[in-house]
Amino acid sequence: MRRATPVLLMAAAAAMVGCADRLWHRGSFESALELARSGETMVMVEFQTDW
Amino acid sequence: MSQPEVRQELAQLVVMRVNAERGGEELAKRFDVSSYPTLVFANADGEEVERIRGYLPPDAFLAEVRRVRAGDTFAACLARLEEQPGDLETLTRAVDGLLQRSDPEGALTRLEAFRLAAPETSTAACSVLLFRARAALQDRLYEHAAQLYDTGWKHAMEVPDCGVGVQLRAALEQGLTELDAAEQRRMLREARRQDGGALLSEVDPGSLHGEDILTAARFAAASGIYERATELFERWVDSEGAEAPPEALNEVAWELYLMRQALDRGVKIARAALAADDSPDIADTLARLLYVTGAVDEAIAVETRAAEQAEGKAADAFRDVAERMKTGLPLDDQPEFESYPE
Repeated sequence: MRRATPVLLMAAAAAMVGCADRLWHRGSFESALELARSGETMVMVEFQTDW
Repeated sequence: MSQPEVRQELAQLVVMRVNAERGGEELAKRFDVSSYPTLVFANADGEEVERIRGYLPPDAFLAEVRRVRAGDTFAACLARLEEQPGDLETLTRAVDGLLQRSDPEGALTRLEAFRLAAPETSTAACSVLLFRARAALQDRLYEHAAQLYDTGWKHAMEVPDCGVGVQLRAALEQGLTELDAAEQRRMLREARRQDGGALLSEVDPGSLHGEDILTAARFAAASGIYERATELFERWVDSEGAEAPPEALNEVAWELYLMRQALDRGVKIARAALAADDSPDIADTLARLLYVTGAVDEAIAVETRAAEQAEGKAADAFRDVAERMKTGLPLDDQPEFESYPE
């Protein structure tokens, strides 16, 4: 059976914990951009689904 | 992302997580994200500067984030290529990135600019890049043709005059869309096979290495050129040897099974994959290959074990396959090309 996961990507999903901690911005993308502007940095958005 | 070093690096950014199907649809559309997970890095003006598809091991991920933070981004690479269109190293990285982002047209534009800027540089690397971009564009054209065929050609299809999809273009000019469905299917398949063969004949096989061999093999299979695909898949396995990741070996074995090509070799490849990764998916591949090569008893044993190891729908599917094997029914899995353009 062909696997759905891409060949070169390591499944590190198990390590994806701590989404309620302070690392993660909880507001909108626009508010994230505001923060990035004031902190002279950039925004990283992780897109995922329930699958 | 739970590792302290990774978290420390991420703390320098504004990091957010979006469910692209629950609340994050608009943002996913804005950045044209269609595979998951995907990480998009945007500057403070909201412009994308880099993206990473899929999860990486912590060390590789850390290196990527550091690279992005240092300004060595895909966006910077494209800007650099704009200034120096004849720089092969920058071109290679740009084309890689554009193809990862499903933009073969963008890749071909940069390759043409490179040809004009550095006409004396005709390297093997450049010809492989050109092949990869053309193959990606051709696959996309044929997928688009299949969608239009499915809707009864509600929209006209235009094939750009750039040496890709030549037979498709000719078929459309000859009135493909006016023919009955069976004739359309026949013509589309024949055109795809011929166009695939034309692109494959342009690339020097000796210039293909590593992942590029797999790319060419997948393209050949998608174009219905099974003997060439088999030759390339086998060459890739030979070149990778024991270093080959089991998931990739499983893919190769699965493709050989679907194409019904080099089946004994397929069994060996699947056994090697299973020895490295005892997963039910790989066991299922091996079992099917064993079955079609006549080793029925072992096939049933391996498939039954795969069904016991698997969960959910996969477990049900493997049980069904094991039952088919026990009753001597044929396995009718086929390569996607066999049902193209349906």
